[in-house]
Amino acid sequence: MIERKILEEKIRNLENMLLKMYSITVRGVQAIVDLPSDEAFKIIEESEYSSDILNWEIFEEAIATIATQQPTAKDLRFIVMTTTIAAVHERINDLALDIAKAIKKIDDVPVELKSSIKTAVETILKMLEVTKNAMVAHSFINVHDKLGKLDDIVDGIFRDTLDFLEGKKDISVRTVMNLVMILRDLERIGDLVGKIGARLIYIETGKMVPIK
Amino acid sequence: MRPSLRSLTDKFYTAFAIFAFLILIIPLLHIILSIIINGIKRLDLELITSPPKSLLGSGGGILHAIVGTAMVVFIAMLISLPLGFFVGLYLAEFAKGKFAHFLRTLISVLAGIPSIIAGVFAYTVIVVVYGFSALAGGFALGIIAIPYVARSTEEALGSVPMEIKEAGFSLGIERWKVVLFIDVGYAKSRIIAGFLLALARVIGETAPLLITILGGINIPSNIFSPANAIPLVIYQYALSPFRIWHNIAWSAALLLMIIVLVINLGVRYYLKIKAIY
Amino acid sequence: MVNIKVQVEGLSVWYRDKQILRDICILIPEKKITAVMGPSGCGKTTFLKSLNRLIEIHEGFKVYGKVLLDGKNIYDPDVDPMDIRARIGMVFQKPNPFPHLSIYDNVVVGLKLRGITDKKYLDRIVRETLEKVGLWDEVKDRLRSSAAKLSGGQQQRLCIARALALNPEVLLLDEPTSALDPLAAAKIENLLVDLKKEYTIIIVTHNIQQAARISDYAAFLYMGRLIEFGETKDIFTNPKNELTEKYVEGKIG
Repeated sequence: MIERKILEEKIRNLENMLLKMYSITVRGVQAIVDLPSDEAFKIIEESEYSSDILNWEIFEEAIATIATQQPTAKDLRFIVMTTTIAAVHERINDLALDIAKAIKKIDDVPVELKSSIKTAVETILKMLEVTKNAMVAHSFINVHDKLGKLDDIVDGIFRDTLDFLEGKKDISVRTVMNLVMILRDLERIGDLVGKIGARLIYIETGKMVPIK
Repeated sequence: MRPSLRSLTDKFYTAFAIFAFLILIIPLLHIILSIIINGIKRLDLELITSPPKSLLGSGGGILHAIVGTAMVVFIAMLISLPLGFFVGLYLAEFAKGKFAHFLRTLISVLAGIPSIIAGVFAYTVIVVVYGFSALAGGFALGIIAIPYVARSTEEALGSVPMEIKEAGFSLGIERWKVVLFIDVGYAKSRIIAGFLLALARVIGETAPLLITILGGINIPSNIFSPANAIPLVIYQYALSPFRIWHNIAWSAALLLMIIVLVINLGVRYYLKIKAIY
Repeated sequence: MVNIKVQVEGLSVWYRDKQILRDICILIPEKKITAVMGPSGCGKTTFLKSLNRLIEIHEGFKVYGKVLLDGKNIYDPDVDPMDIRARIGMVFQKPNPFPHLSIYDNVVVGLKLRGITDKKYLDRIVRETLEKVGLWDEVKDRLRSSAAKLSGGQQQRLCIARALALNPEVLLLDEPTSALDPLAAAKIENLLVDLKKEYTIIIVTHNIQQAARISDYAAFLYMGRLIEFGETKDIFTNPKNELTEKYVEGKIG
């Protein structure tokens, strides 16, 4: 078998960029729990900024790799999917920043919801870890099921929040709206991590399996 | 379908070509067959191992002529190989412009002169001074062989592909070394083949030997003594009135033919082996 | 910052009354692969042969301008072209090992004819260079047999070894894979990527994909002019010149 050294090096490079992207996202999402502290807000802002830049870098590298190395089959799927996965990460960091801004606008988040947010964030982090482990180990057994189950938890939290807020009369409409948006964004992030999983499976198998 | 005019002319020319071929091949076959039929009788061990018995006796061989031919051809090669080789080398690799053109014309002229002229030249230069000798005959044949060796060497070197020369130069090797070690090495087998064919060409020469080596029945003791040669023996014996000598002449002719054939086939086989690479 | 190994300044080459190269200026970085691309007849090979003065063995060529190797013009009168050719090795389009020499002698013929005869040294060079080009294991038992018996790909690797035996600083390759099958070509490409750690490599190719795959820098020659020169990824994703763009898109040439 002939190695394609340069192509393999480029693919490794893209893999590393994606892992870097992963840690940026984890850092940003994790900080949601510590909101509304200024420090947490700053971390999220930084993550949003650097994920944007890294997203473009991954685009450039992927385009250059396709143009110069003529990848095919799995190599090609990997490179193209890398760009879309990077874009999803960038979007997740955007949403994290939206959440941070919304939390800032609320004077006091009800204790019950604080724990809901915490659970949602922890679940999302678990989902992210599933995607990372799958990517590093190139093993996709149960990825689909695991992500689906975890995403169900996040969705459940969102529904519970709606129920909880319906019964509350002592919170201003503005606060309610912000809280709904926060939980809605968390639910969106869960969906997006699911999409990352679907793309990883596509790289490995060439089959499109939506995770919902 | 009616045969067209074109196919008729086609048939006509094919028939004509076959006819011309037969005209050419029949006399050639006749010569070869006569030599074989008449020569085979006396092509025995005695022919090549013993000198003539006595001037009029029966039996005997042509050992004296075989030794003479070997001597004369050896001297001819000693003269023509280095000279012809370097002239060919010069023409192929270094000669440019007018001088090269002049040299090529000279070589052509040399190849074209009747061989007896070379004999006359050898006579005036050597025979007059040293007397009839193998040396004089070798000298004459050497002159005849030079243009053949020069041409075959030039052609052999001309066949070296540009890529091979370029590869040599690209290694930082000087020109003369590229020529001598790369080009000559590459064309080695063809150059050697050229040498052998030149040898085959002069081995049957008779005319220049008539006036340079004299002939006779003695095995030459050194290059300064008179000698005989196979083609000369054929000439002299064929003109004699004796049946026994006629038979020896036929056998000598067959022997000469076999020698030339072996050289030619040997060269072909040799080049074929080399061409496998 | 990359070091510049070869600097070409205003290089123009004429063949009789026809101008082949027009005022080429280019900076070749050290220990990188620079690809020179262009359609047939654009002057690529002439350009390459101007870089080691091999052009001078052909009649009718005139070279103007400078080619600086480590800052020194190789066309200066005090420079010996033999030394330049030893410092700048070359590999040709058609594998051209010397068929009358053994594998061993093919590798060391340059050294031998340049006066080096120390057997131990030659043995070492043969082994080192053949290992470098990945041929050692394939031929170590038949070093004395003719080089003509090797396959095309092996012959080309032998030719690379022959050039490397002189320990050159720069390696010029003139379409080294165009006469080879894809597998043998891929091996040569991998080899070049390995070799760039030690040598500055300039490869001429009309195979756009090959230039893209292995080079760090790429130059586009068109009708004797240097149209564009830059990092390969820029040339292939965002060329500045319209002609270059059409060329890498496969629309001309």
